[in-house]
Amino acid sequence: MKITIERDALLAAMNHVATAVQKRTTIPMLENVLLKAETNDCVELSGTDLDMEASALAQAAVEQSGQATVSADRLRNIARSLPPGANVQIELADNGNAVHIKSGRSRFQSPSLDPRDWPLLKGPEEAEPLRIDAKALAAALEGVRFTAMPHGKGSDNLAVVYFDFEKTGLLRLVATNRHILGHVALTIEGAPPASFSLHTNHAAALSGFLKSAEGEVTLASDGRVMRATRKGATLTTKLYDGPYVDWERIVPRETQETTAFDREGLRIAVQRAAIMVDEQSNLTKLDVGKDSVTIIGQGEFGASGHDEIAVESTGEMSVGYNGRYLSEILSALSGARTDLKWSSPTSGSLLCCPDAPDHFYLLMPVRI
Amino acid sequence: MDGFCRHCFADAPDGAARCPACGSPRLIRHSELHTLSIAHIDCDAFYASIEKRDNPELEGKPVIVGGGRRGVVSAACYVARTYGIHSAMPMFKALKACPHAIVIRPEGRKYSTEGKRIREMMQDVTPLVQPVSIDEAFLDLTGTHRLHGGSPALTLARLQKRIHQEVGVTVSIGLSHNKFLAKTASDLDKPHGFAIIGKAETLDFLADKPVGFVFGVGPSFAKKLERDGYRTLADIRRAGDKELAARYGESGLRLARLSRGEDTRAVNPERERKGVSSETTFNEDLSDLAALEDRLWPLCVKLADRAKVDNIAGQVVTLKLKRADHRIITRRRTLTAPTQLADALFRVGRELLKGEATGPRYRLIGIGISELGLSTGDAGDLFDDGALKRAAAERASDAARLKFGGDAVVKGRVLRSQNKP
Repeated sequence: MKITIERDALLAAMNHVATAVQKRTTIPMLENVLLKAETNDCVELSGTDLDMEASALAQAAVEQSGQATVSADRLRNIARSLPPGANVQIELADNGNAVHIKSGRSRFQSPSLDPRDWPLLKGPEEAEPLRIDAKALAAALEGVRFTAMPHGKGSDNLAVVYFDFEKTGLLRLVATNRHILGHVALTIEGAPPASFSLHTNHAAALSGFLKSAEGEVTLASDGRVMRATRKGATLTTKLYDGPYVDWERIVPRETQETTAFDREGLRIAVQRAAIMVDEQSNLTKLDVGKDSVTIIGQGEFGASGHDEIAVESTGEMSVGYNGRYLSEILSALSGARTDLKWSSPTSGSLLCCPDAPDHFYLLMPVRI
Repeated sequence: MDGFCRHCFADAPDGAARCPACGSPRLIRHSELHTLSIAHIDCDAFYASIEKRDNPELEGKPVIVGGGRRGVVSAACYVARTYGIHSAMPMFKALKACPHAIVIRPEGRKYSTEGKRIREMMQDVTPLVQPVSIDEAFLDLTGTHRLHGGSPALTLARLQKRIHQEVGVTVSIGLSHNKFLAKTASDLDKPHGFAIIGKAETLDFLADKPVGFVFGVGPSFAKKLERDGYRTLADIRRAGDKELAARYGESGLRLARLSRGEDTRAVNPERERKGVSSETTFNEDLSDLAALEDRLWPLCVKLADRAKVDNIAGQVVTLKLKRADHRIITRRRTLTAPTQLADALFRVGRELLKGEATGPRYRLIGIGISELGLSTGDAGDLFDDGALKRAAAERASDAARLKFGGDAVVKGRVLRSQNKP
């Protein structure tokens, strides 16, 4: 294999590929990037960690077709260090044992592993891809991602973002960690795939992938793997293989009371009251009255912070919430007004903007 | 030579056998008495002393605090120790040595409350208190001379007296110039002792001690050292740092330094407790899930009690099982929110237990929490409507137990397991 590629194209491709490459791994091949030059005007670069594969196509002059693997970290650092617009020649040499990289007067040699040992992650089989606006999907994903269990902390069935296609014409993204549930819905056209659960670390990678996409992306899934495709790049991930929790069961159909408040006003008040709260403890108390809410942050040794905002409420209660969740929700919601819909201080409260009822959060109180 | 009376704190003139002011023989003298400031305080037979305090009839009798027939001794009073009983000794051995000993089941909540009281008294004399366990701690009193109007030694003697008067248990104090020697000293004059190892005498004091005297040198390392010709700390000192480091690496170097009484570790009050746990050994091996669950519940209550006293909550729950062949199995789970509730601990513990109670016989079960933080209310669970209600019930039952005594409210499960043979 021998190719010449422009530095900027190489760097852009490597930046995407790096999302799937792990720096420290016990399998040396997984530190490498696979270069595939099979046509005469482009090269495909791929990285994988066995559960996720990121591939990018880049324009290149292919002198000699073929495949090679080389340390992804090094190739990316080389591309970074070269001046914009430079041409980079990459050649498999030494009977396939080394890759030579040249640009201007710079020369690099790096060992190469046999590309035939590359662990291929097979894409979804015969799945009809769904077209969806990249920016809208990215925003929806960001809206629920923080409500999932973090990756690698146990409770694997909750360390996912659920892509729910059960309702015709809708993609509902749901995530929960048992204390908070986030929900965003997007309208879709075309035949949807079966619902699937995306691991939270893969959801983070997908979010990055979508942010650098223009226009539409396609999503395809066969229940085993999911593949997102944008112009010149794909992201393929294995899916969580168990069923998702019955999330619709816990969303209250109706609530007894509604407290309406200015979203930004409450967000700032919660943050202000939390100044007195220690980092570990996140307890924020709300004393909800008919026309005002007192926000109380309680810290150690009697420290506390109080703030008050005007509200319109149909009922009164004294309730505790995890302050961090509450401020994350208030940051994630949009619109000037937010409704807190509740029945009691011991059951889940709903938070949403009345103009966008499909973007809501369910927050479980904390017993004070 | 500097000295004072540990009873009335009056100066003790050289040569006097008793305090000229109060007549007490409890005098302490040392040439470095007023310059040393690192102390180790260790409660004497802590659990047993508390039991004796609470029940005067036990006075003068051998008392052992510990689990049933197959458990181990948690604490033995000084009368029991004359029969050769010591803590961590299997109960059956202890009872063989002293069949008329009075065995008392440990009541963890009581001990941790008292331990906390003592710790607060320590914190009254210096903020630099590093707890080692419920009944021992290191204190750094450097720079407290003016604050307390007396040397660290005097402050410690007053603290010792205050603990005795207010809590009703005795402590032994070791005073020296570093933690290693302070801890060593606190063991020299037990019970109700006050021992000092000064800088000048450090080398002589350590010279003839066996290598195993140094903490961290276990039986196998000690054996290896002896095989290589190092029997005493003087032997280690003669060999020198280089030789020790070359032979045994990091631990060799550490040993070489400690053999000269050099220990640079600071008294660190920040040192966090990594976890709290509670365990029990059965009289008969158990394999049945229901029987194991019955044993698990009281442990969860005990653990939760301790966590509540200290106002801490754990994010990780660990179940420990010991097989009949003494192999230890641990299973852990990270919770979505930290807890200190017996109910939550039991629910997780039971889930973990289900995976292991599939036939093998177990001799011990334990439960612990780690990744500790301050408790900040009981988190509700979107998927478990009852969680907050059960939390409220547990808090109410705690309040009742506090008011009416430990057995005021117990779960049916406890009564069932008590009725079993």
